[in-house]
Amino acid sequence: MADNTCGPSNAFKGLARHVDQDRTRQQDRVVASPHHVAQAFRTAPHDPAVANSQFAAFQGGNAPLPGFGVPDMYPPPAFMPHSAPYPRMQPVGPAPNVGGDWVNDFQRNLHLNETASPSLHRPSVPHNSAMRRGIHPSMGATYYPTPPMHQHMPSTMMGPAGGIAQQNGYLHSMPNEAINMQPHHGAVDMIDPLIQQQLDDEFTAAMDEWMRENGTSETTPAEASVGVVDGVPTVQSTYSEYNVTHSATNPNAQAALAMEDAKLKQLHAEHAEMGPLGIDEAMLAHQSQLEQEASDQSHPAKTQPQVDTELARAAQQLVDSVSDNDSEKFRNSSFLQMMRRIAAEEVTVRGNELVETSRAGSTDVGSSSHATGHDFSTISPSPASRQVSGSRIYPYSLLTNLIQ
Amino acid sequence: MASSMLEFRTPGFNPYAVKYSPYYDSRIAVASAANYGIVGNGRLFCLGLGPQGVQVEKMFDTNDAQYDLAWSEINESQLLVACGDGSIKLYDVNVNDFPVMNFHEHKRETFSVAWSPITKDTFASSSWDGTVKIWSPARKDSITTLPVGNCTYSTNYCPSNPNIISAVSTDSHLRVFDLRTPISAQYHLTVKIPVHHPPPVPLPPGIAPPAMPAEILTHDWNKYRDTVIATGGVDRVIRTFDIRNPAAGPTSLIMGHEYAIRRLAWSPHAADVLISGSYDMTVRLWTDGSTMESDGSSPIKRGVQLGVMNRHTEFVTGVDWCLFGVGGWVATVGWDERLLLWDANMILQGRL
Repeated sequence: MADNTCGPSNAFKGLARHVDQDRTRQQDRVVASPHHVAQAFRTAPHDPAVANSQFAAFQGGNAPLPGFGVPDMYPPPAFMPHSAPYPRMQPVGPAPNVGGDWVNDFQRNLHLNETASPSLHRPSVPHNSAMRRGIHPSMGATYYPTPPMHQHMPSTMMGPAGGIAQQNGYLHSMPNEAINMQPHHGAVDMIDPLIQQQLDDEFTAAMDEWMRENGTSETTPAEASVGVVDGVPTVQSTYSEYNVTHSATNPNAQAALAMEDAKLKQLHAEHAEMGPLGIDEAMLAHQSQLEQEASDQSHPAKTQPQVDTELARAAQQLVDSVSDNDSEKFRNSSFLQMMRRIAAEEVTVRGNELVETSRAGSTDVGSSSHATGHDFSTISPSPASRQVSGSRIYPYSLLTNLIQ
Repeated sequence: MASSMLEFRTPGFNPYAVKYSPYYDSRIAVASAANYGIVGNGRLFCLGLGPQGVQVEKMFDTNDAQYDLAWSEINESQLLVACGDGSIKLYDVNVNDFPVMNFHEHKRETFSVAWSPITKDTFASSSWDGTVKIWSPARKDSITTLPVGNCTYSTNYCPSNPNIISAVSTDSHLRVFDLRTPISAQYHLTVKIPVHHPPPVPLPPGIAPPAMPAEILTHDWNKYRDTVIATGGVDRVIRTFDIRNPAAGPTSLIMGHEYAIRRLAWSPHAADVLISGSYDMTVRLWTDGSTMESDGSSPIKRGVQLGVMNRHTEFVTGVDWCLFGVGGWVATVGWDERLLLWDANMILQGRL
C-alpha cells in the first residue's frame, strides 16, 4: 500500500484508502441504516413477506440501484439482466453507506482514467487493460479486497485480482484464497446449482416479462430479422441481412449492399461503444428471435410447400455461392449435387428423411443413411425437433453463410 | 505414400467431428450425421487402431444429427456427443446402444462440447440457442449458463485454468468468460474481442484480411502459450489473439483457405503449429509465424502455410492431433464419409 500513501495526493488515493479500510466493525450499522429502509430486502431479509413487498416496490418504482452511476446507458431495470441478481449482490460495505456517490465518482474516474491511472488496481494485477475492457465498470465494486462486504454473494471471487491475469498460476488462484478468506462461502463456490438455478430463474423470469411487454410478436420472421428490437440495433441480425443481400443474384443488390455496408458499420460502431453491455441487447435480441422461431413452429401456419420452397431457395443460394468454382472437387461433390437437386425441388425433406419428389419419382434417396431396428424414442424421450421438418431448415441457411 | 495414410469409411453418415482419445493412442471417435446433418439420424463411431487398420469398436446411433464430440478426461471409456436436438449424450464404450447420461437443456442444436482438461470434473457445451452451458457429468442439470446472445459455434476451456472458458459465435466475436468473476459482472464475461476489426497497427505488407463481420466457426487455445487463441470462420482467415491485450487486434494473420474454415487445432507438440480444415475441401498445416524473425514493418505476424492435404473430396469438418507417439499424427474427417489418419510430418517432407 506504499503507493497509496506516498506521492502527490489525488482523488484516487483517498478513494483507495477508503476502500482498503476494514469496515467489518461498521457493518451492523450499515445494514441497519435508516436511509435505506426501502431496500432492506437487499441486506436483511428477516421477514420474507416484507422483503418481497419491498422488492416489488423497488421493481415497480424504478428506484435506481445504488452504484449505477450512468443511468442513461442502461435500459429500465425491469428487463436488465443486472436487476434480478444485482440486489442480492449489493455490497453491504461502503456503497449504501455513503449513498453511492463515491461509487459514481469511482466509476466516472474509471472511465476518465482508463489509460491514465492504473494505480487504483492493485499492482499485482499485470493486465489491467484486459480486465477493464472486459469487465463492466460497475463491477469495480467487486475488486475491493475486504471480504465481508458481500453477504449474499453466491459467486466465486471476491479477491483483488480478477480476470484472466491469474491464469498462469491458477494453483495459487482465487478459488483457494476465496475459500480461505471466506470459509462460509467456500461451499457455495461457483458450483452450487441451487443458487445458480435461482439466479437463472430470476434472469429468465425478468427476461420473459420484458419479452411479454416488448416482444415483437406481431412481426413476421422476415421483419424480425431487421436488426432492431425495441430500438436496440443488433449487429448480428443486420449481418445476416447483409449475407442475404450479398448472395442475392439480383443486380439491384449492389446498391442495397452498399447501403447495408454503411448501416452495418454504423451499427457496429455503436455496438462497440456500448462495450460489454452489448451482451444484454444481443441476448435479448437472440431470445426474441428464438421465441419467434418457436412460435413459428408451434403455429402450423407453414405449409409443406412453403417449407419445400424455403429449402429449395436456401439450396439455390448455396449452389450460386460456389458457382464460380469449377474445380474438379466441387464439380464432383455429391453434397453440391444434392443441393442442386434440392434447389430444383427434385429432393425434399419429408419427416425425418430426404425423399425424391414427384418430379423425380418417389423413392427414398437417403434410405442407406437411416438406422433401422432401433426404437429411437427410447433413446431420447422428446425428439420434438425431429418431427417437424421445418425445424431442420436452419442448416441450409447456415451453409449459405459458410460459403460466401 | 497412400499406404502411410489410414482410412476408415462411415457409409451413409457424414462426419462432423473427430477426436483422439486422451488416454489411448489407438482409440479415436467420429461424430457424424446422415444427409449432411440436414435431416436424419446421427452415428457415433468409436474406433480402434490395430494391425488390421481402423476397426469399429462400438457404434451409437442417435435420432438426431451429431455435430461434435469430446472424450471424457476422467473416464477413459466415456465420451460426449453434441446432438441436433439440443441434447448432449454421454456414452460409455462398455455399454451398448444407450447413453449413460443425457443432458438436455439447450433449446436449439448443440454445436460443440469440450471437457475441462484441468479439473476434469466439468464440461462445456455451446448451442445455437445462444448460450454456453457448464455441466458436471454427474448431474442432469447444468451448473452455469453463460449467455452469448447468438449462435455459438464453438466453446473451449483454457488449457491452464479451469475457470476460463472461451466461445466464438455468429456475431464475429471471441468471448472469454472467467467463472471466478461474480455473475453480475456481465455473466462472467471478461473479454470480448471483435475478431474482424482491423488492427490498430499497420498490417504486414501484402495481406489484407476482410474487415467485415463474419461468423466465427471454430477456435482453439494454444497449448504452450496459454493466452493465445486462434479463430477461424467464414472470412477464410485464421487469426490469433492474445487475450491479455484484446484491443491490440490479432497477433498473427494466417490466410490461404479458399472457403470458410470449419475446424482448427493447435499442435500439442509445437507452440507455433496448427492445422485447419475448410469448406474448400483441404486440410492445411500452418505456422503462425510467432517463431519467425519480424522484419519490423508490423507487430502482426504473418502465418505461413507448411503444407496442404488434398485427399478429402468433400468439405472437411474435423481435424485433431494425436497426443501420443512421435508427434505429428493427425485425424481428419470430411463429408466424403471418410476418416483419414496421417502423419503431418510427411507434408513437411513433401511426401504427401
